[in-house]
Amino acid sequence: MTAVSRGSKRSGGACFPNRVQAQATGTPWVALAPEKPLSRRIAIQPDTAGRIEPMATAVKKLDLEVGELVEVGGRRYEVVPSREGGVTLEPPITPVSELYAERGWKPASEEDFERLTADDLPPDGEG
Amino acid sequence: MSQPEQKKLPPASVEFGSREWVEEVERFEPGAVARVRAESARRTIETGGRDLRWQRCDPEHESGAHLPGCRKLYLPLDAEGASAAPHGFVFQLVKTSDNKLIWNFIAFGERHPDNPNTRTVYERAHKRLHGHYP
Repeated sequence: MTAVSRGSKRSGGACFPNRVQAQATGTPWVALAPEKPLSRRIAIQPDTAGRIEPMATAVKKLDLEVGELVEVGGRRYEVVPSREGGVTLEPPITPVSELYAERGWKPASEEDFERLTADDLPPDGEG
Repeated sequence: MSQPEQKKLPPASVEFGSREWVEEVERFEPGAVARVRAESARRTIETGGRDLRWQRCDPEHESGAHLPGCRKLYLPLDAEGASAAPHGFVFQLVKTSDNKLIWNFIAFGERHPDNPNTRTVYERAHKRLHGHYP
């Protein structure tokens, strides 16, 4: 996995959805730097008009494997397989094995499940 | 020989664990449609203000999502028909340390996301149950 940093002028990472897109779709959003209003990012001062300095690009390579946790900007993300066969970062989902061990819970028996769902609608083939 | 009739159990309460809630619902910004919808549904469930259309999950779906011991609700709860309910809650039946049965909330999300990179609520539930995506 490669994280690309473009110094102070970067817009937040082109390889991830921006915050608005992510919130609208529920996809993970990785903030590598605070977003700035567009007008501030492209503003050109009169004395520098016509001269755009090249942005410094530093590439930080991360050797990460599926299942590992990383922290970016104070938020945790889990390395998970992407649908394209690579890996991607998503907010972690703590497995029930861990949650239930802390709480002293365990999944109920199939018999209890059958008794309690006798009046439920049957599965609709969706999931 | 006839099978003895199974005794029906009293209804189990619904629990929304704080960690599950944060990971499933609070990943959305306050005011986001999905989050508002989940918060509203939770209030309704906790106050018992409506008959809920519980539905069993597929224990082994062809997508690879295996959700044995789980049931679901479509959101909004008052939607007319499943097609008008784009989101879902998934709950797992759990036995607590004092032998009480509860329905523990394990996943919230879109049923059929438009964005192919978005995980469905069933994939999220599978991940929480099994530690990996289907």
